[in-house]
Amino acid sequence: MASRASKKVSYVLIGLLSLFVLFSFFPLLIMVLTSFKSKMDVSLGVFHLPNAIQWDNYSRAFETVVPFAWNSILIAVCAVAGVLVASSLAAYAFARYKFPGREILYYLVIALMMVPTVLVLIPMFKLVAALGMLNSYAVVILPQIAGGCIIAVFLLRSFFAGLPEDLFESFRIDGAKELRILRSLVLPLSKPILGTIAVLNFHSSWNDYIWPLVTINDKALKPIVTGIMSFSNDYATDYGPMMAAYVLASVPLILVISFAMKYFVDGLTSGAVKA
Amino acid sequence: MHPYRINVFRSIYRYKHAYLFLLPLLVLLGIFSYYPIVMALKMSFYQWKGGNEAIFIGLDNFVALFKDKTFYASLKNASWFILFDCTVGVLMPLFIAELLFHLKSARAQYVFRTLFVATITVPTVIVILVWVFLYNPVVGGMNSLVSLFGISPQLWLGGTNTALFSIIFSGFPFINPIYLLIVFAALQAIPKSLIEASVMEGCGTWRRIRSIDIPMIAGQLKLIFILGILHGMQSFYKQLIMTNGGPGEETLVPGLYMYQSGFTYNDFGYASTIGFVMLILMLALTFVSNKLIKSGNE
Repeated sequence: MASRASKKVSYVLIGLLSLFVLFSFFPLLIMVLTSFKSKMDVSLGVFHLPNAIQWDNYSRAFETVVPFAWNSILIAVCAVAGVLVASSLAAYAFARYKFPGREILYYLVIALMMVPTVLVLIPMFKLVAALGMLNSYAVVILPQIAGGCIIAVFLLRSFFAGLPEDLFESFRIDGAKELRILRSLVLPLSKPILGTIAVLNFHSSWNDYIWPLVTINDKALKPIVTGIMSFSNDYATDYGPMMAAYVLASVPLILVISFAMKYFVDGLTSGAVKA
Repeated sequence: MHPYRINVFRSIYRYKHAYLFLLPLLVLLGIFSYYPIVMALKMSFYQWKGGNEAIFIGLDNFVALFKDKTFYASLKNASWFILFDCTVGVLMPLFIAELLFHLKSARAQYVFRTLFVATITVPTVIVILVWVFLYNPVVGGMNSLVSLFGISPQLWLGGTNTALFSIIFSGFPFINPIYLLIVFAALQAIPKSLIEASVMEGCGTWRRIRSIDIPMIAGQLKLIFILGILHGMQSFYKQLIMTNGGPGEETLVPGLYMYQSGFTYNDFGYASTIGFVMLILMLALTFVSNKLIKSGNE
């Protein structure tokens, strides 16, 4: 009796969860469905199935999306690499040396987590404009490195500090230089957390919208999220190719996150539990 | 020189590696974080338009802002977004996390959790653009959907009475995957013995959620409540893409007003002032809710 009741409960749970998964995917399903439609089919309504699948939408979208996608990939890869290098160097220093000013410098870095991005938007724009950095890859890469490093230093420092001291001693006796200890001892041991940091930063770089919107006008340099907006304006009422472009724009991120889902989930939950 | 001073210099020299390792980070943060923060606070006291030189005008920007009807309208709109983010935005992830937590099979838990997180792989801006399409009064699906309930066609994002609600509803079903992961991880961290004891005592599911789960994960719920406030207060990309604040000022929020003052009207001083006031409001709201929730617990 009890087991039948609990079976009933789990059917209800699964039913409810499936319903909410469906709701969560609703806009995405509409996007994929519409991407196969001709102009005629679109005018018949969102929930109509396409009469004939328009692969042509994808070939039209492909040409437009690919250059933007390359820009985004380049930006995201540079930003991730920059965050990994700068934050692991800094976190190593914070975790393993007792240098004068360590505490205050660490808090100066961590305190930045409290500062809302909206506050610095205008002065940062004036700064990069004055430096002549507008319309370049660097204008989106460098601030992303700076922003990404804050949480990365926080996560890496506690990880590095937890590594057993004996490991370091054996390396020091060996006469290994500090940079070599970092490279051949610490970083290999920290692969999972570095993976998490890489995925989180790739994701936020790919999603960044307002900053590239105001700093990059040159169509040849635009990342995908702002590039696709200009595409939407060009195809004002041709929704088929527009939705095909949206689908294509999501593909690289889907690939990265599906390969690294574990790092992604671990990173988000571990960060929260520590906080 | 004082011997203590010499020691400090000596140990600074001894740790030159450490400083060298910190250099890239400190340079980046100095240029792209600390300098803009200082400038943001300073420029609120300047008249700074277009390419002209900035002129110190004291509190004039603040005085103008406190008399600015548009600013109050934007705050009123933001309060709707904040209200929604910290009620439905907290309850939905909690609800889904409880459903997940009560699933017996670990495999099913994993599959559903992965499915909810998978939605994060589509860029937020693209999800918003799909909603803009759905809200299109002619080809979008919203009008045919609501006609099933006998509701007449609406203008949605273009309608004075529907625009704000339409933007809020584009978050449907309001399950932020990150919040979901946070709450779910917290539920899993509740000691099993506590739950078993409650079952032995004949404690029902509803009672258990109220008396064990919620108190045990209160810290995480508070975290996403505060994140909800901060998000509702400062986020403006949805409004920028969907309505640009319109129709009229129906969907204008402070962040968007700041953006428009800066980038549309080139009034960087005034924009900085809006940013400054938003910072104060966010700190105040965080402080107050921190106090309130803590006293509610004790």
